[in-house]
Amino acid sequence: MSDIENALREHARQLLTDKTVKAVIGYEKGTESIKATPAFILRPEDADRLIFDATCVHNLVKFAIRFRGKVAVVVKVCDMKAVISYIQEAQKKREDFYLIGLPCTGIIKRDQMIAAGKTKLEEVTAEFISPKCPACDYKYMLEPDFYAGERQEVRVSEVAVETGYEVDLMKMTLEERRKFFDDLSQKCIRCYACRQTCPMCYCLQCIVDKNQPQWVNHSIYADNNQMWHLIWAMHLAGRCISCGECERVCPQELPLRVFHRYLVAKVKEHFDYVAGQSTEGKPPLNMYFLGDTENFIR
Amino acid sequence: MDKITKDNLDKLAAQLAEKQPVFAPQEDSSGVVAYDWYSGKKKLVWGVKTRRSAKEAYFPQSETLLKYRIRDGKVEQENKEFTSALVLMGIHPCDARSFTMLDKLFGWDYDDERWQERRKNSVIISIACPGPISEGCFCMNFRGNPFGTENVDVLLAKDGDAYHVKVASEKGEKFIKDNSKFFSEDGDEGRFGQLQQKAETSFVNSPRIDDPDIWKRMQQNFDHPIWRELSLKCIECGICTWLCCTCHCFDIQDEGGFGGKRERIWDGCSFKEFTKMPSHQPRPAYFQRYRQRIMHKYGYFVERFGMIACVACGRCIDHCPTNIDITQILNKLNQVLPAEGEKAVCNE
Amino acid sequence: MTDAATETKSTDVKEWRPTLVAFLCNWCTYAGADLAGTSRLTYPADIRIIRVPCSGRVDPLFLLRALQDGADGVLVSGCHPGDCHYTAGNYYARRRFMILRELLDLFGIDLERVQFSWVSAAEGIKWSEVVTDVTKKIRDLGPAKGLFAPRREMP
Repeated sequence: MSDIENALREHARQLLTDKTVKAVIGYEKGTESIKATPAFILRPEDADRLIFDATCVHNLVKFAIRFRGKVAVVVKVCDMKAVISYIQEAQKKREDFYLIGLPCTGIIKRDQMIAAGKTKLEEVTAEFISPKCPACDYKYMLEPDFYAGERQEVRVSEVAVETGYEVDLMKMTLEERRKFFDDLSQKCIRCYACRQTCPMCYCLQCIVDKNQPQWVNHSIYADNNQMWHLIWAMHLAGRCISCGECERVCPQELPLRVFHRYLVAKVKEHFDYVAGQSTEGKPPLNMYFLGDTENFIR
Repeated sequence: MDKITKDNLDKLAAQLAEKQPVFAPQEDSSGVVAYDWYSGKKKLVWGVKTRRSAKEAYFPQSETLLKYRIRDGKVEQENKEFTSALVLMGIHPCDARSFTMLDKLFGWDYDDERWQERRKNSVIISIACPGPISEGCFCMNFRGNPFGTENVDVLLAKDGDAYHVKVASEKGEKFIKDNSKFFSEDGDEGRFGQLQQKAETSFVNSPRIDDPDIWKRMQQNFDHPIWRELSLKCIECGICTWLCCTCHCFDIQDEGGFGGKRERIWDGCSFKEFTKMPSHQPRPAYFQRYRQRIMHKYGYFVERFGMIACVACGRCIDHCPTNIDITQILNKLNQVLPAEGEKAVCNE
Repeated sequence: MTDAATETKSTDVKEWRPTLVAFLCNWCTYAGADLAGTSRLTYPADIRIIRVPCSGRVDPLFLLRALQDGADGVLVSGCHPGDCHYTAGNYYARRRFMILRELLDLFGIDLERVQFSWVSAAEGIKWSEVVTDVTKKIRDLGPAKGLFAPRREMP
């Protein structure tokens, strides 16, 4: 058990005993090898279940918004962006969260490790670290209420953008890109795990579930699947925080982040805005600038 | 007993596919191995735990029932024909076992023509599992068997780069006779039994449900507060439902305007819209939907059909994004719910 | 057209005509199209017009749905920046469509099939020119095939 886990458990116990929060949401050991699972600690005596290591891949913030009242949640740097977005989009207030930060050095790609026959955390090597981690600068954009463990120094990451994309779509021709998305649409089974796990998808009723009229059909033919992905990408345009949860949960292992990351880059290029950095301001599609480009309009 | 080499198995699949649809595990471009209709374009992969279950052969995720066109004030309808003579190759014994439950369901309040015709006219060649082929597998601990022959016509057991063949039905006997050029004599008759024994004894560390027959206790304690705690982690995606061997709920939707089609599509009780009606939503909260899922599979299905709607394939455990483990859920319920007949808890 | 001309024109072969769906804002472009009509200006009749209160009302979903349902091209037209009847609707639309174009380009959908214009209520001539131009463009591109991938049917 590490120092981080010690500090985390101690503090969680304290928070629950003092009734500062209703629940502490963190991670605990899962039921399969190198797997963690979200833990909802409601009683001080259960605080010893909390762990933190590279298997803690989930973004827990979306669980926090289910509770009314103050909730403590363990957030990594990538998860903090979801908290910031919720505050910016007026879904939650800062007082509703008790944020517990900790020094994270990367999370694993579990499926690839299992496929390579590695079932122990000690066997993890650089190739099994999630592509978003090398680009992380370890900087919390919002100061956590408590930091478990020794404070990580902010760094300038060696990679400017995330690694791990073997496919650079814009280098392909139009027909090749078409084929890539055809392939993706054929494989999708519309389980909506991507939507359910995405922190930015919190609509009470999703557009695909509206059936008067039925905008997006539920049958899983490739054209309907493609509609779903296009609409979802548009609804996340300017809001995606690049947490990577969508791709992690997809049972068909679709390269979902490709198009979300593309729009993140385009929004940065056109509007100089990245989601999840500040609680002030508005997402770019919620505002306008008189001098916006209109070179595509006759 | 006969034997068939892996090469011959591949060739057999290709030859059969020329005359009828063959449903076999193949690898797609992301490296995911799943059952699909054989087209020659994807690589056949035997013996690896498939991502989705075999019910898709008889009960596809989307199926057109009929096409229609409204013209000159009249409706022209064209019922969609379907092929029923199918070959399922390389499916796991747990997948085959699930057909017993689904047979009951699709012959219960009405006879589902598509399911029943396909079941009647297809041949199932199963590949036995040498043990748990994923961490979630626990069939041996739950009324199943990695070498099970329930609903199977021909069972193959891997040994090196060949398979020992066991005939499990008359249909299987005929199948081997019709395709005898792919099979050869098996010199080692006792080997099958050895492999079976080895497989059956390797589930020691697999998940285990202490007492699955708790449905009466679940019903008597419907409002127990434990349900709220158990469902906290659920994010209500549809992965467990879509991957499950025995989940069978569906919706029928018409797509199109003046011309279109009627589709039968899978539906899941985890989705909000499953029970939503014009009047109200009877299960507005998460825990109610999760409770419904567990109680249906381990409760209402037992009450109605006398068997639990679960074959312990473990796909839900392997792929749940938040690692909700069905064995843990049931063991916790077993621990917490009062014994049958004891004072029920009512606390909602 | 003279009688002779119509007789020589074959009626057996059905010539492909593009299907264009247009979303026009009520206050500007729709009025401009109306003006084109009252001024007896001609333009190809392949365009199907849907009137919306403002170009800001146009959800990217409308365009995608039109393409999925078989349209060969889509046109969205609204008021000039600064002239929006609802003050800022067209500004939001401008941003939204810029991002939509990037996404469609990524997905391999030819951007020439999705067109945008600002046409005011006084610009009847511009409207007829825009429609003529867009129709010609789509006609040259041909029918929209495979924009939304072909279906995978059960055997």
